[in-house]
Amino acid sequence: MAPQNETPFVQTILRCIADGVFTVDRDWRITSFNRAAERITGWAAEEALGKKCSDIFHADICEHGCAIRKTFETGREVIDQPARILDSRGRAVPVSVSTAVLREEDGTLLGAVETFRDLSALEQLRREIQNRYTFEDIIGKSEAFQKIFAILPDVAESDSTVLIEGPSGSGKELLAKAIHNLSRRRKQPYVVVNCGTLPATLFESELFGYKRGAFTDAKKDKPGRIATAERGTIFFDEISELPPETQVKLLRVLQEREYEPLGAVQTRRANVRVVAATNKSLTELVAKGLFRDDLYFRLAVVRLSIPPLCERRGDIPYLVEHFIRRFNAKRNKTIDGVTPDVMEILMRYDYPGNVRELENVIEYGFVLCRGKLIDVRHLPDHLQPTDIVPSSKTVQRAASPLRRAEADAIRDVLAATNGHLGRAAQELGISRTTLWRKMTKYGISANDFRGE
Amino acid sequence: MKVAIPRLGEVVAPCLEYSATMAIFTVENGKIVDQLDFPLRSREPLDRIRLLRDQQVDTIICGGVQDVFEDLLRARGIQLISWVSGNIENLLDLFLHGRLVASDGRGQPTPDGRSHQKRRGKQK
Repeated sequence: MAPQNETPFVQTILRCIADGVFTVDRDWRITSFNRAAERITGWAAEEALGKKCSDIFHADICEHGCAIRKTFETGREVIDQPARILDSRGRAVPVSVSTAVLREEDGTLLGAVETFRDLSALEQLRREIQNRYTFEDIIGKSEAFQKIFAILPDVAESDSTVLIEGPSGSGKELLAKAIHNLSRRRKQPYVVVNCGTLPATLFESELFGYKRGAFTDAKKDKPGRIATAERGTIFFDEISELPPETQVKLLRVLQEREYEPLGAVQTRRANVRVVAATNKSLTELVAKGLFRDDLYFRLAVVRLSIPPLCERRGDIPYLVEHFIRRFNAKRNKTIDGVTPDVMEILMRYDYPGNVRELENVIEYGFVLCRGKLIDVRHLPDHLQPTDIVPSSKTVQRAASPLRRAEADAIRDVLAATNGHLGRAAQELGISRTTLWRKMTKYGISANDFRGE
Repeated sequence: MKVAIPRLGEVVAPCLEYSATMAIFTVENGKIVDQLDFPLRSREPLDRIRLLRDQQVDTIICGGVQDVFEDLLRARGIQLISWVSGNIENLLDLFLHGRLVASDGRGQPTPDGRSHQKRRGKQK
């Protein structure tokens, strides 16, 4: 929507440009809000107009460092100031902001204009490259995850050793990283040791390091992973694969906080926090004599269990949306979502490979999809409808004609309201969040109902 | 009961995570009996959660809040009345009279000083 003094020509330009553009009057109230601004913030122009800009953007610079304030105070433009805003669903969006004052021909101050560029894709790529994920990447709305979230800050703060249990691909490493990032050690190193990939013969030298001359090729001292993680956190993935002879040495690290590099005569102190993860039942391995019980009890001071994806199906729509955003950034595509049929298939499938398998399914869809929605034909063969063996728990949900009727009703109301989420939710008598959740579930995009 | 409000002067700060001051009010028998302002230098979520935990806060009235942070707080049993704006005294008055309650689902923002109802916060 545009102020009255904007010509159709200017309106067309503002509508077509990819950056968000809005104007404010002298009281910081929004007077125009272009289509890209709607897309980036999740607010419709009519919802934003008349509001103070801080009520729409909720940015980290609103309190200290407001670009518009700087422009008002100095009369000078601000160019590409980095900021983080919150969109209408509470997701952080990195942006770069530029501002300038607006004046009448006689010099009277009218307000200011701000343009902002969505840097989500860039940040996503940077995180992919640097493998820097945070607890914000843990997608879990299910009860099991809410229980973990409830104690996560206390667990992180405690400095206790943590054992994370869960099947492969369920996000154990993300949780370990979250514990580190929320702890007092967050500015110190975070070192990952994948016990399943290190040869048993190299384990001790990798873990504890060695002194020059400790063995034939030891030309100089080499610090081990524990020394590298000093004052930080060391994460043992697949701890069940730890060789028996190393188990006793790790036990000593946990008990005495001491170890000796290979060939060293002096004992070293270790100031590291240990987080371990396993996809196998350590108690069973203990019972079989394959894992030391004393080490198990030292590791399992705090136990966190991540259930498999098939036991928290409610997280699937959120995960699908998360992966679509991620792959849009990674592959420079603009896919809006999945069709209702695809969502139904994804909700029914049992995911032996857990979240990682769902991620792979979406990535496969991205390879084949040329349109806006991932359709059934874009799914891997084993997910094509004839091959799916529905789990007994979910047959009723998947086959329900009520679900189709609900999806149709949502589409009808969105069509009638031109894709306006607020009005559609009101019309349907449900909250905006519920509407959004149902739209995600059925693969419905509001953009498809918004006219030019 | 304790109520926390991230503040910017006399109004609710635009964002819980980025606010520089947290005002914590102690309420007894429906009246405010104490108020403490805590300056917040760190933007780490854990530091804010630690403060809210240590101060035994029951309810937060705030502006914007990131979804993951909101999940963390709700999972700890803290009631959130989020996405509200406006004058803190007015909001507290509404809250103490049971006219500002947490609502399900994010609604729409409203202008300052009108209804204070935003996405999560709801004026009865």
